[in-house]
Amino acid sequence: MITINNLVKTYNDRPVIDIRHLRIESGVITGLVGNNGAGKTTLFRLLLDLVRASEGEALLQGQDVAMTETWKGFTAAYLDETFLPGYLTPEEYFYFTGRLNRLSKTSVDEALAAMSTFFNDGILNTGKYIRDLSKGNQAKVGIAACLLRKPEVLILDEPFANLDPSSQLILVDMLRQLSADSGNAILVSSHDINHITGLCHRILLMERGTIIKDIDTTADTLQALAEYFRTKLPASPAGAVSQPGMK
Amino acid sequence: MILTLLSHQWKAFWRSRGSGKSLIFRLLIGLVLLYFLASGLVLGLYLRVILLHFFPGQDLDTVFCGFLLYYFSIDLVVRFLFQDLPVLATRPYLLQNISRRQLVSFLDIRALFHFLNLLPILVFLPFIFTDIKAGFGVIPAAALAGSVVLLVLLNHYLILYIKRKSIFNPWWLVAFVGANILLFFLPLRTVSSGSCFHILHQPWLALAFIFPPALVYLLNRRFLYNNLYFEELSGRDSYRQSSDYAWLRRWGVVGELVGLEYRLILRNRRPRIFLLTSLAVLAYSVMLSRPHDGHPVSPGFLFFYCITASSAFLIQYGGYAFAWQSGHFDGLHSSNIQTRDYIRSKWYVFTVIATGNCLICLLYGLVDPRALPMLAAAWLYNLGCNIPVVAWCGTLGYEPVDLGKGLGFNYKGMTTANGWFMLLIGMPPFCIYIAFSRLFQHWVGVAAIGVAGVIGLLFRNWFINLVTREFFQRKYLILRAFREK
Repeated sequence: MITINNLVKTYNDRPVIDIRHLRIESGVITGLVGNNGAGKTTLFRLLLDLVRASEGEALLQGQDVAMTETWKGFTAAYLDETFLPGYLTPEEYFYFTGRLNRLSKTSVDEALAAMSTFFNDGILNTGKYIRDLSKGNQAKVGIAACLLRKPEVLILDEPFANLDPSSQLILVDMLRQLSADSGNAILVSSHDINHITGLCHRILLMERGTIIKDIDTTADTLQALAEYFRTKLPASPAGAVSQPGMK
Repeated sequence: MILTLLSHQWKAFWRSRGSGKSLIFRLLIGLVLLYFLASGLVLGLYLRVILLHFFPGQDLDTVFCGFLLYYFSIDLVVRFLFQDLPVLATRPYLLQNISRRQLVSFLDIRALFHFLNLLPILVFLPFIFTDIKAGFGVIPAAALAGSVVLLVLLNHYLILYIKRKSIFNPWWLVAFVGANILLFFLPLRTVSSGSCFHILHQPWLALAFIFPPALVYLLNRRFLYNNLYFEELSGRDSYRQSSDYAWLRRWGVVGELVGLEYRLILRNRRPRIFLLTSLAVLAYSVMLSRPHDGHPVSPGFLFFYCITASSAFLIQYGGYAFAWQSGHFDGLHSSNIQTRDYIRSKWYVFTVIATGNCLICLLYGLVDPRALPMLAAAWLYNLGCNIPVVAWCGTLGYEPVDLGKGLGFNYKGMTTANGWFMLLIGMPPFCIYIAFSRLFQHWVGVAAIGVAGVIGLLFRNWFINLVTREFFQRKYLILRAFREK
């Protein structure tokens, strides 16, 4: 469970995050959408204690992330490729992550075998360091290292970006499976509103550092989100995009 | 165009996270540089008086001329340590409408702004245009002055070339160190005064000095021109084998982190070059402390050698304690690693580095057995005192190090500031030694260093806790700085 109380982050007196109260329950896949600059990544960094909160607190399973370090034992996150030591091979990184979390080599191997379609021959036994992999494959390494831990709290920043279409679909299935099996709290951000509505039980819409809409996903959600983002187009009438030829 | 690029550099300097935080530090460095330049000028103006004092009754011109080449061969070493490659992220400009020629020219011009280029001019030209002019006339003096300037340019571009080449092929570094050691076995003084007097008697000979710097300059240009492609140089197809350091598991998470750092050192060019540079320092110090004309070196000097040489690896590597991992710092600090374990792993890595360094130095014991107890004291001091200091200084380092990306101009994080920083870390043991050896005698000074080390070791856990606390205090600043690359 993720809990946020009066969390504020300001840069140069300008608030970039201002969330009064938010609870993200375990067993629910929660999606975070919003245009660039809405504060999604900053929020994730606050949740992982990578930036200092100006006010308020973020709790993972009741643990204040800025006060304790125990949350690191049950939380897995992948934000971008700067989370990966580029000079390791993917295998070394998986075993390293496994050992940090007291997983045996066998259980890491089993978890990796279960992800073999996701990897699609591009990750294991390629004889490359992570830094020499493509962006998409780097993302796969980062995501897979999170999934193999079966964490109680899972945080992924734009996991679908850079992935090829097949891998995106497999990832959706894997996250659903993980949620159904272990009932953990999953928080995923994405610019792909199709995937996010397909995957998530609940969607949070972010704008200028605050959650402006909290939606339980229904059949109409995709349409509603599409409408919202259309209104965000800079100073042009809502219909202009679909009819580019008209003045 | 080049002015625009220079202005970008100026902005990059002032807007980088590191400089904003440590404006006072930069000012301090500026003051130190200014001090050196002023000292240079004063030295130049009073060179005559100084030479008279040290070489009474000798012909000053001969002494001066004999000294010139010595200066320039030491200058090479100093430049190697302190002259940075001009840092310009050329990448953003490569696709702009700027010709390669302009980019290369820019890199060349940018590099010339260096105090090591100004110093010899301040020191030597006043003497040349007073004493030498009085003795030989205006034209010979001008020819000699011209030769000095050309030698400055030669050294300047030679070091840039060697540094650039050594990024791609570390053997250049080995060759450079070897050639430099050989240089000191040559009769430099005779060669120097001989060639100077040739120039003074036949000034047109100075024209010959135009060719070496011109050649190195052109080599540099060609190298830069051909290597503005980053990716071509990084794409190597060899199979990367996974490795498993099972024996490290005994130490749990700390062992894992040590294994991680071990791979970091082995698999990245930057740390490897750092270790080679440290080997160079070792080689130089052996060279400096070899017995002169059959007389053994003084014990104080030998101890100076032992301390410097045995801490070279630690200071070079530890100066970037956390920055080495800046590329994946976010990941490291959100994974299941307790911060105290992380700091402890640094202690282990540093201990291994310092001990390995001392073991290499033990070879010197074969030359001079007096070095053995001194090295033991230095080793204790490194483990007990230098490791905490280096780790603590690490928490003040906000400059990320770029390990894997763009090999071409990858000297980011390696600034002159770090050079002074290293000197600051190196000073305290000398103060301790000098105090105790002056008060009592040499071996008491050595023992004092050893005892200081043992005391440091006794407080090891306290130091680890202290650095962990300091790290927590600055954690967000470090994380933020490392994210901005």
